[in-house]
Amino acid sequence: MRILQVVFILFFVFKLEAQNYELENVTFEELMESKHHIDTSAVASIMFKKQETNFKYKKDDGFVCTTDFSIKIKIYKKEGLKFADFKIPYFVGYSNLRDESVKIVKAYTYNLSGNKIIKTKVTSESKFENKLNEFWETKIIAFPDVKVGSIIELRYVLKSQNLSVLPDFQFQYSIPVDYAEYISKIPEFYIYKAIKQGYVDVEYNEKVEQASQTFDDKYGNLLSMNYKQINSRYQTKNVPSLIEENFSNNIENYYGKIDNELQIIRMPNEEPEKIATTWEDVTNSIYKEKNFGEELFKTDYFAKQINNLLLNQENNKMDLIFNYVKNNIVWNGKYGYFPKTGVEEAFKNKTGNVAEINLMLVSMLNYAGLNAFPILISTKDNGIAIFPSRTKFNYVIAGVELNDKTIVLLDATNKNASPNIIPERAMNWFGRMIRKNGTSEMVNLYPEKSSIENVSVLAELKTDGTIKGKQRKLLTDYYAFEYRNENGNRNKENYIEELEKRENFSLVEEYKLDNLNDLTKPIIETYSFTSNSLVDIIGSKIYFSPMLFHQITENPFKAENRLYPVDFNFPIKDSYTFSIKIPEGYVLESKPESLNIAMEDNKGSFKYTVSENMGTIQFACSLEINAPIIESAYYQHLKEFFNQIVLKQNEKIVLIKK
Amino acid sequence: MKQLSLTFLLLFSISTFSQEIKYSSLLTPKELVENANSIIRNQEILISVNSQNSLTIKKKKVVTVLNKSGLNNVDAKEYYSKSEKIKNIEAIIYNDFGSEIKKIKKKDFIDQSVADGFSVLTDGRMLYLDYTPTSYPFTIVYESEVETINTAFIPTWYPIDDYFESVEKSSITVNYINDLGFKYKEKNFENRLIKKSETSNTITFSVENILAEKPEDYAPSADKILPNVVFGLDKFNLEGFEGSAKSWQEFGMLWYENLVSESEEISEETKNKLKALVANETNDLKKAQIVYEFMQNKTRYVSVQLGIGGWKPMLPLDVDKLGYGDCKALSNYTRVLLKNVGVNSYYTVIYGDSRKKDFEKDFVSKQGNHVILTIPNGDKNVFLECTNQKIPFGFGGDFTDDRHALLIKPDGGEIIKTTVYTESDNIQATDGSVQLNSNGTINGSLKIVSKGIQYDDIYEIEDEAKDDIEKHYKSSRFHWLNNLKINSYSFKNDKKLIEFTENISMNVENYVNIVGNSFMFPVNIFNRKTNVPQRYRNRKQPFEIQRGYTDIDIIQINIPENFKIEALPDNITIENKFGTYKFEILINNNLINYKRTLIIKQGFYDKSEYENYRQFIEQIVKHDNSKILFNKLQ
Repeated sequence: MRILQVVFILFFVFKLEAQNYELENVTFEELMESKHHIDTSAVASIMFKKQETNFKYKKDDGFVCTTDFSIKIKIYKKEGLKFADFKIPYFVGYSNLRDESVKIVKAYTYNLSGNKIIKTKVTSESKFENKLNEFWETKIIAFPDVKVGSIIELRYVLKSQNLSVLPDFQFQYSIPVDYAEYISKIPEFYIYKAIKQGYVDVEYNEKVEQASQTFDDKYGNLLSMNYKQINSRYQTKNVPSLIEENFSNNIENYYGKIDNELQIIRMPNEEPEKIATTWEDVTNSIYKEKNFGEELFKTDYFAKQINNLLLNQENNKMDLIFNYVKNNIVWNGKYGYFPKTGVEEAFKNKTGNVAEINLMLVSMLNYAGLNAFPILISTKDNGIAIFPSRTKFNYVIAGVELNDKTIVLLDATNKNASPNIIPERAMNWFGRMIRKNGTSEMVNLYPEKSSIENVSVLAELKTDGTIKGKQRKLLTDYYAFEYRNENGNRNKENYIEELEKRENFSLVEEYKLDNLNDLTKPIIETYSFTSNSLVDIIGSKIYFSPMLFHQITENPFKAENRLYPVDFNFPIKDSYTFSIKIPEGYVLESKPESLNIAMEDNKGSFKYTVSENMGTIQFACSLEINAPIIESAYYQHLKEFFNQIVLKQNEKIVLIKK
Repeated sequence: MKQLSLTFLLLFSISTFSQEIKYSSLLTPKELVENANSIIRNQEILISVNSQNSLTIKKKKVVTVLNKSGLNNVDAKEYYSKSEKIKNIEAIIYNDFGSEIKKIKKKDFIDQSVADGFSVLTDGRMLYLDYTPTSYPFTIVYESEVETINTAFIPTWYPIDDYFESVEKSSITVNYINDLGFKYKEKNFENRLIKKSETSNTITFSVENILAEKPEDYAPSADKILPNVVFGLDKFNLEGFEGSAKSWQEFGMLWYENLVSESEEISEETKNKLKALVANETNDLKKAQIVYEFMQNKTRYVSVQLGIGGWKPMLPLDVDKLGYGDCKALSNYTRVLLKNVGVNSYYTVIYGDSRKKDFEKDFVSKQGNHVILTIPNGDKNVFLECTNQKIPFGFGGDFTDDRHALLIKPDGGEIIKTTVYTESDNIQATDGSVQLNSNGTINGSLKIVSKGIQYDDIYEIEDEAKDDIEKHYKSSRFHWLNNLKINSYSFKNDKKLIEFTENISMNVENYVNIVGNSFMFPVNIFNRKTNVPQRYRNRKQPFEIQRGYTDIDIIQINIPENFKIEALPDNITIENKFGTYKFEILINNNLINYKRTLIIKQGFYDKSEYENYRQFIEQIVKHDNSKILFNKLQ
């Protein structure tokens, strides 16, 4: 949980000076500005973004949520012109709600002509609509007459009947944002929870006021309704741009943003209906959904096959069932935690979405007497489900509780997956495991166990600088999983040619790969190589790095600072044990010194030793990263740690002619 | 094989169980499985030219998919729009033994817009098959029928259209009515067994038993090496516009009259501005440059392709007002602007791609995917790329260089060739001085001047944000320099000379590898070739260097007083048909003058030359990594 506190800071209160952030107020100075006042190399900036959500009562639809967006953008460079092509997607795929709609209220381009401000209105010929697929449509605005220096303004209204989440309020982008504000005016009948993401402070205040609406009843009488409403206001300014570095997970998970999620509906004279206030509420309500809970209790459709499978089997029931599902039902590439055609159909057709496959797996495991549960997940590209939220999940896997109370994670959508090895898309912080009574608990999705890469090389150096050797590489857990996913389908000859190119070998022979299809065993790859590119011969001396072709040549962490965590996905233990024979006529002149370093709090360690015995170099090196995620607070340590590794691995052994 | 299929034919005619056996993947010939992810068992394309306004394309494709990668080769999709209708689309899946396991009807195909990253908007849509195989191999029988009014395009036939795919049997038949001027052209048929049969109004091409091929680095593009047949009509229809042309001359005239010249109106305001801008200018090219830059600052590229709008430019008056358009609209707008200042220019249709693609000179038909503008200028035409706001006047970069294109002149069309940039045009010259410090750090300042296509590769950096510029130097340009710190940079973009200059000041900590008292100093700091092309055990395809270039690096290195040179790499010169590599070091007290020259020539070579080329680059990579050994005197 410690990591989470670093990521999600609570709302912050500071005073923003009042300024005029209104549309159609473009000044001469703003148009003259040639670079951003803080980020001078910015290609464009968002001068302000304002968003306001209101609820309007309609006699047929009940409350409908309308969100009014105003945005003002300044273009500084030609590279920034792309911000003048504006796309607004909206959802039209609800099964029981009206389609969302977007109305462009106004849009202008501003330019200078001498000292005069030229304001160009965006007319219908620059507005387009496109139906992408059965779920999404887009409104497209191509702002006219935009050039370097222009300012564009847009105001549009998004209407939605879906009250379970309000449109998100994003206030950080790849360009700087000078000011952002979000106001929501929500009738007392709906209680929302605001969830903030990112590293930017936001000022927040709220007040309760009296409100009323009038509407026609079905006889055409004008009625009015009086109620209280909660007015919330979020403000922030000078939000810097955020760019993506190595090991980033998904940069969109770190942009500053606020989500409002419906928690309680309390209509007059009715019991309040809790939607999601706690994880218990969230999981309970999902569990009660017919599509979810009921699907879990169906067993008839598979009983015969599973009975056969488990006939006379007492042990390994989990593995048997897991393999059965993996090998018989193929994932159709679709996400979701609700079945689409249902588990029975999926079983019959031998294909299904994530929910169908993994909920089927849960029922089968329970049927066999194991203690299995669904675990709800938000995938890496879907953001992090940090606070209780129904809408944030988009994926489900299975968890099996063993006698010692440990949980084994299973995801049958990937044939190379094994117990506790789940696809990377699902490894996003943590999931919620739902127990049979609807209660739930947090489950860590990152592995604690290190994945191992063991490389051993037996090599001989020739006087002409050629190195011939034999390598054996062993990969376990996630390393093996990744290897199988990437190379499982490869033609051997093509693989060898690519290997030669990648490692700059002049030849690879005797290639052998073991256990590709036996997931219970590590991947073992062996081959002989010849390389001319590993050694420098200068005068009477030979120089080479004992790492051979396994050097980390560049520090992956180049940025000076980092706000968000470094995501390694899984802890690692890499080790290299090499034995390199010195050529006839040469002796060892010098060798790199040993190094043994560790990162603070045991986040990582690196060891390196070279020795010589009877004309043979013995070399051992190991690198361990002990956590799947390294918090940004450790970034400087991590950068320096890798810096030392790169330096050390670059050091050379020197041989000299006798 | 022949006998086998004959037997099955017999079975087919006398019994009822034929279907299943036919689609069993168990009967796949063994040699076709080698290297293949999928096998085209039988593909039959039937194209019927019904009239000038109607073309029907019927496909039947039987593919055995051997594994997951082969799934992408099935291509079960069709495009449609107002002018193109999908009359039928369906697929049946058979398992390994040839039994039907699933039938997919038209309504089960997924409907989607084809709007891609390029087009902001198009009305084009497609239906595609979304099928999750439950086991491999399986066989799919895909059938479709599309009817279109656009007879200006008859699909080109590529019997081999995917790598890792073998072909058991594939054919195309075109039925046509005779008075439309049907024509075709065969390409790359050498060494390929392609059968052809022809009657007075039909033509059929077919192939059998083609083994799967795999992609190879430096291979020329498919249209240069794979067999294909292009088809066309003298009398055609394009989104409702009917035309007839036998020669490029006629074709161009038709195009000019129907798809270019409709209106040449622009606003009075713009006219006045133009007049003022060129008031004192008498030279046509200088006038043109002023107008071009005016257009660049006024517009941006936005693509709207609706109906005939896919072929015909937006009105110049609209571009004038809106300030955007696609390649057609912006080129035509620029043409009209130029006309207003008395400069003549021509709308020019071309294939725009950094992989050079030529117009088929001897095949008059609707070709090209891009439009530029040509200003006639004696024997050296000036070409204007109108969709790029930053590119210099008269420079199209690698998107339109060295290829044939069609000029659309009022009096007819004409094929011309665009500017060729050779190795002596595409220059990168680096001048630098470096101070090596006794702690192994280097401080350096560099001046890099890029010209020709090398200009094209770099000039846009000028406009990027600081973080991205630093990222470019650290992660790409000088990626081997760990601990690179950019102290300052400045750029000069000379659009007249088409020359981009980077001035960079930097330092690199721990640049030198220190072993006791010895310092290992890689002498080539700033311009290293680091990748050797892949070695192929059995290369199948010719190889091509699309563009030549020259890199010259002259670096002065100051070394500390107390450094003594212990070993020096030898000077070297390699010269061969692919180019030249020179590595020279000259010592002058504490000054080392390093000079590197690399010239790579443009060329198209036989596959047997590939290994020589690979070894040439391997040598370069090796020498680019040469080190000087210093001893530090105490």
